[in-house]
Amino acid sequence: MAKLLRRAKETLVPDKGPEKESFGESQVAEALARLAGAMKTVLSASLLPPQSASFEALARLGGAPALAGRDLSALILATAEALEAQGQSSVERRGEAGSAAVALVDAQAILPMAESIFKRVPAVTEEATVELITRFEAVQAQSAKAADSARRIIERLEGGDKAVASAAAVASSTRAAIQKERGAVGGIVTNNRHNAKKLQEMGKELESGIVVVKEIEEINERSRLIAFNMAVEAARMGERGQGVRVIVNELRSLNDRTAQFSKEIVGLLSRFKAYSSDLIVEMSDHAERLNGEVMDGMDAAEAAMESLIASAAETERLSTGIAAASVEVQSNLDTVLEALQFQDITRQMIEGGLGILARIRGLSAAANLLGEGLGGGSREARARLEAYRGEFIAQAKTKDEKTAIMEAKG
Amino acid sequence: MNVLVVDDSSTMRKIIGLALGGAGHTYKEAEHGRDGLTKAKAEKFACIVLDVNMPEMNGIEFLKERAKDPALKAVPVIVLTTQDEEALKAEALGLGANSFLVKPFQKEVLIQTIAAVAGS
Repeated sequence: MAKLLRRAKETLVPDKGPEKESFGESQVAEALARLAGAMKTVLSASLLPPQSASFEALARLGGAPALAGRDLSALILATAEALEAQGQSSVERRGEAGSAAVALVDAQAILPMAESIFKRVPAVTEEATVELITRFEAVQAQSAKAADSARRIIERLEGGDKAVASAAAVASSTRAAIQKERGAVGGIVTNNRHNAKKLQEMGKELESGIVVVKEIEEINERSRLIAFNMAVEAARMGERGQGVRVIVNELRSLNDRTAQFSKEIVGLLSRFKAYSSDLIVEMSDHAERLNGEVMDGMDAAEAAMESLIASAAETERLSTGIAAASVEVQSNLDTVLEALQFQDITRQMIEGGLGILARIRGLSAAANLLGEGLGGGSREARARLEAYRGEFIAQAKTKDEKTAIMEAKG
Repeated sequence: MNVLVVDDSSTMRKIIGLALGGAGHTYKEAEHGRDGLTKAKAEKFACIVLDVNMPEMNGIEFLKERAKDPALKAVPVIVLTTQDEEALKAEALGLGANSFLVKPFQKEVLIQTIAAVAGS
């Protein structure tokens, strides 16, 4: 018994707790049962925030979790010393203490498995965090590029860039010029139509001229008949009709020249009329064709200008949208950056929890030695431990958790 | 600005680096206090962001060593820790730290604090 107590003392953390004056026999089992309960509480509290009920329960046993181990050490040492001082133990006491020691196995079985699981958490979460950070960097870089491009486009469209500003101005002035030219072409076409009408009127005048000339020809025919009658009359007059014959000859010469002249005038007027008719047709066709082509070209140019101006407006609208979206993305990324820090905070909490578990494990081992000396069975303890292990493996939710439990040393 | 980030967590160093990079700062990394001291003496930094709980040399020990070196003492230090404790804050500020921030930090707060301490 004394040898076991020495080993128990050696195993315990050598912090000195408050001295206990004495321990009654009935307090031994109670103390060990409290210890087992405390260990379970420590286990559940190790990853819980300080405000949790488990933490408070642990604090009631010995203050903060980090100090609980020291106080429990004091409790076990005091128990061992009290038993040693009494120098003997009854069969009944052995039974009580042994049962309490067996209860300790609950904690002893759980601790190494919990440690093994907890140790894996930082590695697994770090892997995930690094992956997230890599993606975060990529998204941040792309978002920043998009925002930068959008900002530059907006600046250029708003007039910061002279080239773009002048292009926009040229587009607007070109549209205005096209609209002006459209008016000018319309004027030319109207003018052409007016000219054609004038030519048609002129053609009518020519028709009238031809009619007049034909009337002259009729008068000339009548004059020719008069000359013939005068010639017959001059022949009958003989020598006295000599003077009349001279007039008749002059009249015939005039008739011939008039007929020739009338013929030439009619020919000239007819050709002029034909030429004017052709000119009217050609001018009308040409003007209409020209008008159609020019209007089509202007429609296309005007549509292109409208499209260019609309494109600039659309680009500005899209760029403004991209810039706003990028600001939103950046804001969300800042939130992600904040959340990623919890991996490191969790790691530090787990490291703290593992420290506590290590101390409790030492205490549990020492208490188990004590329990063996008091009659508890190590075979029973091992059997319970294996039962726990099998149960935990069956309940494990992930492959990592299962591996951790299998690798845990009891 | 060129900032030295002293933290034993590689993920935390990357996270702080992302926040700094996003604000146009450059940074170097140190894995613990001793590494930080060596790098702070070898290169000129506008500011040091310092964790507390680290192996080899923790943040408090770093501040004590820094106080002995006039050149190093001139470089402002922002303590950035998960330990939100008044006693620790008082000790760090008492040893010459210029500011005390708690993790998880907000990017804007860190950047503004760097601007404030490095500008002073």
